[in-house]
Amino acid sequence: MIKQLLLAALLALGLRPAAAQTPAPGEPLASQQLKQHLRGQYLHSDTAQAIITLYSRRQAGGVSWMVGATLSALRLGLGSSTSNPGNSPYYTAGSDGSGNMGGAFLIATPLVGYGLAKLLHYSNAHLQAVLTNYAAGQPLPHALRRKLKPRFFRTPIVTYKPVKYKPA
Amino acid sequence: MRFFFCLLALILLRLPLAAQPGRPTLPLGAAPADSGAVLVFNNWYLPRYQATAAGAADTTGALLSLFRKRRYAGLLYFIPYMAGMCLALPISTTDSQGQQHKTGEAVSPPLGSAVLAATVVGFIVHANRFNKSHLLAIDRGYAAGQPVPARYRRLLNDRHFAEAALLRTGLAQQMAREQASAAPTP
Repeated sequence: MIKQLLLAALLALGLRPAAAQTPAPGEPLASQQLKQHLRGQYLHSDTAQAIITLYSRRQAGGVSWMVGATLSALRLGLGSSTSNPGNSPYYTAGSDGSGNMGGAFLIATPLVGYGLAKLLHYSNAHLQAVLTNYAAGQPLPHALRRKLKPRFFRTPIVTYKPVKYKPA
Repeated sequence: MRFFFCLLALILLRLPLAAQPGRPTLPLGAAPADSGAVLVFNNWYLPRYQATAAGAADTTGALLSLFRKRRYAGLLYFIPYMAGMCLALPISTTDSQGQQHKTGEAVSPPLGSAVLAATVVGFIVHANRFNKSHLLAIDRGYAAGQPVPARYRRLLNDRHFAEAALLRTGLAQQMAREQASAAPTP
């Protein structure tokens, strides 16, 4: 029980800030540099900035779906549950106490697939294409326009607080 | 073993993002205009940096990147902590009838306690070493002309400088956008 709580706390602490911060600590350097290059290219277009923010969020979401599904599958498949919370009489462990790798695989596959589909749909190449078309004057695709929420327009590139300079 | 798989999964998951064509190649440590001193992330102090023609590297930015990364890496102390707990405390198992069996003895209480103690001490040392106030002290000394202490300087690598450049450029972009939105539109 304690182990599970600690693990949950670890995951909550470890994954949440990663998704909320810019630049995200987990994102590969090349991807971050590409996004920064695009941000600089369309610096004064609020819509372009919001699209880039949307794509970074969705990419982080895809990665976390895949990581979460993999971790749950490993927990289900390898970890024979060693605890019976509340000593429930209906509690049954696996057949011989060990996990069920096939079942875990079945459960995890669609979730990993969902994350992978997100990653592929919101890829950096697609982002570049969308921004190029938008800069050329074409209207945004309807699906993308629906996904652009006000919060993506409000998100700053980097959150900072200026420090008052005091000459010593 | 499980953590190994998790790490493997993490590494594999990064591949589709990394393999994108046409990425711009920024030179390492290429930082933009002066942004002034700011507080970023969780109120970490980032001193101002002026890119000079002589090409002084953005040491303060790289130090911030190093500290932030090491602070996150402190979560990994959880692994030896769990190992120590598993060794030091008795393990309970549940059989297929739902009966809980608790082993009478732990695997190795002395070894487990040693691992636990080492982990706790190691974590405190680590957290103290990559402390916000230590970074501030290093930054102050660096601004005053003192060198960065060798034990921190040795840890700096190209990736820290690249991340510092990302952060500085991002700051400059954000400030440019704020200025543009504050300026009256004709």
